[in-house]
Amino acid sequence: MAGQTFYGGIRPYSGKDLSKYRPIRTVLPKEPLLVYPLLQSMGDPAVPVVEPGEHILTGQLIARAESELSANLHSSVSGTVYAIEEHAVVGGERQKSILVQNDGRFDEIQYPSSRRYSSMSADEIIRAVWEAGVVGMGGAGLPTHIKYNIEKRNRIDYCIANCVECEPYLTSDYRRMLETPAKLINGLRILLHIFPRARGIIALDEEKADLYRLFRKMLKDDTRIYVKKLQSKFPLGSERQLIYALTGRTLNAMMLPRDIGCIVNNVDTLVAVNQAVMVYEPLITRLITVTGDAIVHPQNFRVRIGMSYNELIERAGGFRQRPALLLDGGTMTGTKITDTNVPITKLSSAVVALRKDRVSDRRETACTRCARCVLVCPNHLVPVQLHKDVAAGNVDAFIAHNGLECSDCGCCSYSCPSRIGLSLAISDMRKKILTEQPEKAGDYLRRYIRR
Amino acid sequence: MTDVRPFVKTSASTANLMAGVIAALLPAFGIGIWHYGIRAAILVGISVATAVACELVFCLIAGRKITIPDYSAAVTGFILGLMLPPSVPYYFPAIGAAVAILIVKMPFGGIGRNWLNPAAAGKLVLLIAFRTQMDNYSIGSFTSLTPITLAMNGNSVNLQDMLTGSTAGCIGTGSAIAILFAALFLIVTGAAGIVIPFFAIFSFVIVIILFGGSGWDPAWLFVQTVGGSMLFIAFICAQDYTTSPVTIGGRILYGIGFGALTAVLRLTVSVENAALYALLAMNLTSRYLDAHTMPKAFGTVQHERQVRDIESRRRANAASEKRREEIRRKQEEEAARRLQTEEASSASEEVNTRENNLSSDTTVLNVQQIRELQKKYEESK
Ligand code: SF4
Ligand code: SF4
Repeated sequence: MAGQTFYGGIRPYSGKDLSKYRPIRTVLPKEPLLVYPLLQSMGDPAVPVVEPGEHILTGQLIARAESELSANLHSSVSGTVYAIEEHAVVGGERQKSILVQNDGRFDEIQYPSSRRYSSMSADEIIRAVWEAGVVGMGGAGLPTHIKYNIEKRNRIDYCIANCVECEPYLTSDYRRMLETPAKLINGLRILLHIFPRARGIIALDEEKADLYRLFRKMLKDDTRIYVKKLQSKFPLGSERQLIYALTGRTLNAMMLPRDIGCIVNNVDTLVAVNQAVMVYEPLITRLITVTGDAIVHPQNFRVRIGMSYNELIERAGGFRQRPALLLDGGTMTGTKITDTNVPITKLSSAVVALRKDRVSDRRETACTRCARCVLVCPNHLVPVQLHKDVAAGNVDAFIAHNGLECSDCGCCSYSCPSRIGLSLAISDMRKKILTEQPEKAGDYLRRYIRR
Repeated sequence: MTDVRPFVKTSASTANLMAGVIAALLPAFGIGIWHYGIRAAILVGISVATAVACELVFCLIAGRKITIPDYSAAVTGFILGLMLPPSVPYYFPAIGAAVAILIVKMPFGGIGRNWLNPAAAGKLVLLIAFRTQMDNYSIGSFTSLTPITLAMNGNSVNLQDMLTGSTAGCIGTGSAIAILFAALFLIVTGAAGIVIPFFAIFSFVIVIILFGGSGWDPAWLFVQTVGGSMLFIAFICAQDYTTSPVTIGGRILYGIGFGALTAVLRLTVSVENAALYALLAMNLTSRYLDAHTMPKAFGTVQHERQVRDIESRRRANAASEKRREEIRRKQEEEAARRLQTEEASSASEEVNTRENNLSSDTTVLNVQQIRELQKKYEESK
């Protein structure tokens, strides 16, 4: 076992107090139209299996995963399929989507009565996860069945529940664990059932001391699941840093966690696995934190996938004033929302509206070589050097300086006193190399293709 | 470009880090004025004013963005002023600061690009040009030699005076207390680290112990470390962002090299200005050190412990038949026990409730309302 932390990292303002004490509130879509982009995960878009005009029920499959790297998609309301056409999604692009007209009745498909996972085989469980269209909800959005579907299941030593939630402003995981801890634990047990030799670890950070006590109490008699408390620091929730802090095993960007015997899942994913396996429930709801100082009532919502951000913000009381910065996700890894008429997808996690945009109007000054970026980089890189390589357009030097190891955490940009957008430049370059010069990227592609 | 992640930034900026350096050195400056009179203040003032003016003029002529507000020129001038003897004529700091800014710093591209520490290089030029005046530290009641020269000549030195700076010497570098305060201030505010000075003093002391001729007499070591601006340069000048390496490994080597070189120069070439020469020499190596101490990226070298850990687990898997039997039996027992708890818990209501239940919606849903909305939507289409 390793120390409780990792090298580098930062402690940005967390802002979690805004919504931490608000219970999860379920809201149902009131708007007539719900939008389901076909691509809601890493990989290939799902293929629609419904026709416009068809009547569908809540929980019905509307698009099917045809390729390996794709996830099923289910309707979250009952109604009629209105159209299959391009619709704006978060990030400003337009994507092929299924538009469903909500009839407001929420008639459900017939769910079979719940089952016991202990009598299911590993393959059956993975099948159930695949059917429910569960994807990794920690950010990357890898379809979850791919993570589990590996040959040597005996080689997995640790199944890690990532309950760290290090991203500023996000509190939905916290609320979920506080309100339904048994679901998380059961989800982890299902995982341990797939990987017979593994130990389960619930990884929490110091800020969640109450949860730590709660889980300890609940898992008193459990011999396979351990609860761990780690130093709170960003990016503790990043796979590589988390595995290191928990187990002392290190992972580079070429490897997958399974190579060193670990499986990491975040809270939402494990709960979704639990739902899929125990009660056949597909992934059609999502916990979303709507917060920030420009929101009237910051809180945590349980919403249907496909609702628009507009409606969600409205349900939170709307804006106090026009936000200068509207983000999908937290302040460290989120993206800006320019158009709020976009649907919530499986990968949405938060809406953060801030009154002041302290960053976009930053003035970049010359680098003083202060080395702060070097001190905070959790992946032991030298961002200032990489930035120079990017500026010089020198791909080989960039690779030689391990630019492809960057995990795009943003710590370097955060801590640069000259306000240089280091991580942005680095990740742009990295993506360019991965897509345009794959022969140079070599093994680093593995993380993107994941075969 | 909509994507400027992350959307939070530290409050630290170049300007307030530089202002922090000035603030940290104010006590040293104050002590200088206290001991050497108002003349010291005027010298430092001229130095700062010249540095700022030169930077301004250079920026204007070269058409660059004006970089006065980041305080870096002021810091250069300030440090140069503190490193001057209090008895020099008033045009010395002007020459030194002009050289520092106009020759050493700006032509290389301004802040962050220069290879040499501007203040130190400015002083070097003055030393070369005005040898005798720069070696004359007597002013007012301080007529003797500097403590380090005294000590090297075998005389005894009052250590207490070295703590408070009540000795002949440069304006701001004499008082150990003031410099340690500055160092502490910089470390606490996060403006500078401890790596370089630590390794510098470490290697310096070792070389002095080995070759200094007085063994490890603490008083002697103290005089050596504090005297000749060594402490000041190690804690302040050597930590200059621009001219020190950025990697941790580079910083360690840089510190060690600086300390050892200072000790060697002190024992052979120059007593008073050894640290300054050593610093400038090390400045030239820092880009090289950077290039050769790039850290290994996280995880590219697998930890020994990790390999052991994984291996031992694999081995446990292939343990002898008997032991495996035992383990299996134990596991089965455990599994049976676990099954009980799990069955109990997975039968609990919470686990089996669906997430998409309707009952808990706090806003009552009005079907009529939805129909109307739908109508409106279709009309608008
Ligand atoms: S943090 Fe910014 S100013 Fe400091 S070395 Fe890195 S890039 Fe340069
Ligand atoms: S964004 Fe990349 S380079 Fe910057 S701190 Fe994170 S891992 Fe290091």
